Amino acid sequence: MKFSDEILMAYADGELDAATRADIEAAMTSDPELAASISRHRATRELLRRGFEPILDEPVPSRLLDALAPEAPRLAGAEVRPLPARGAATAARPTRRWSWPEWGAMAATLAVGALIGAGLRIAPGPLMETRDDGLVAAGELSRALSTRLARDAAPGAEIRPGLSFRSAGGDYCRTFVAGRVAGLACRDPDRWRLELLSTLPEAGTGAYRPAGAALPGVILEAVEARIEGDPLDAEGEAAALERGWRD
Amino acid sequence: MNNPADTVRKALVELLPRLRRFGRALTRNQDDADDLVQIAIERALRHSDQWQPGSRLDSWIIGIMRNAWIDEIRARNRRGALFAPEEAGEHVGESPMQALTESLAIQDAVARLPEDQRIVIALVLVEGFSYREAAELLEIPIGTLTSRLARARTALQSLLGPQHEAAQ
Repeated sequence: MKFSDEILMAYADGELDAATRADIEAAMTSDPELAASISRHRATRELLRRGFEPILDEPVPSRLLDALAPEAPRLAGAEVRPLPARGAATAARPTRRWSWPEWGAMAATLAVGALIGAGLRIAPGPLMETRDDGLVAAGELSRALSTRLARDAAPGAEIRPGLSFRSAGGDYCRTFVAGRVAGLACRDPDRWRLELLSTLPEAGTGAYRPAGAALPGVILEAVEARIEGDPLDAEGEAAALERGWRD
Repeated sequence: MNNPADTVRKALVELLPRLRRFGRALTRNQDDADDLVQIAIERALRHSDQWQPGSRLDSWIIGIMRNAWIDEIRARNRRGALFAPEEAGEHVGESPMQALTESLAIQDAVARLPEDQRIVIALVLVEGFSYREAAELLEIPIGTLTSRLARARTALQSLLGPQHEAAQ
């Protein structure tokens, strides 16, 4: 045979210059074996393409999307205290199994950026908006805070209000859990001001915490710093909701 | 908002399905493949200033994945754990598409190739890089690439058997 298998393979892959291509095509007319070799190489190429193509249609794991989530906006006028690096790191990157030398150093820088994207199946954008004076709830989060009672939140729900209470300043405030983020929001006349966000402690890969599970310490501290009297009971919460979280 | 890091971030999101596919061709195993993608994107984001706007981002990130995979193989060799033992049915992913026996057979055949042949197949036949691009990415002469590719193809053809040869 005049042409090597490598040349025929390169022909099948479209890698040859025009002159060599013409030579092969001329030889092919009188040599059926040549054509068969080329078609075998083409078939293998096509098989490989097809064999791996279904992977393109698989859902991308959220940990990979999380790793590419944009940096969180700076929270002016709001207190942001991520959990200690270890907790924040495991919450943000739950399932990577390899140890990697740079990992320790990264954990410290990750905390705030990972906070908002972590674990939310809803994109972070619609859940929060930046305003001149800080961050406010938007979209589903705003709706859940305004209309959902803690007792009605299904355990698997994406956004679950927790404690509701009156602050010393007279505002209504509510804690909430959204994916792996917990937060505290207080009511302004027309919006929920986000006072604090924090990652939840790791609760196992992909598992959402049951409603009523302990909130991160930083959130509870923030509640304690603001609360006037006791948290609202179910009746008080329902009444406040009915009044639109106003007096 | 339009700094280079954001550009890289956005482009990488688009590339994720392809990176996962390349990872799967490289590592035989879905978890390893996604670990590899995660490590590569973390590296890429930290070093996004090293990517030259206008050059191909897919080549750049795939090169990072390949380097990360080589590092991982070395680390496993040092630990004496060449590869995690494969469990039965490991290649069966959640996606019903993937359960198609043809895809499985093809992915298994690639998994049986030696390391240096597998990466050439992954680059040229799975990801569609040209010989020149693949050779540059692997930092080997184009002749070496071509002979590895030819050997890998011969091996694949015998692994996949004659029933697949008719498929075109």
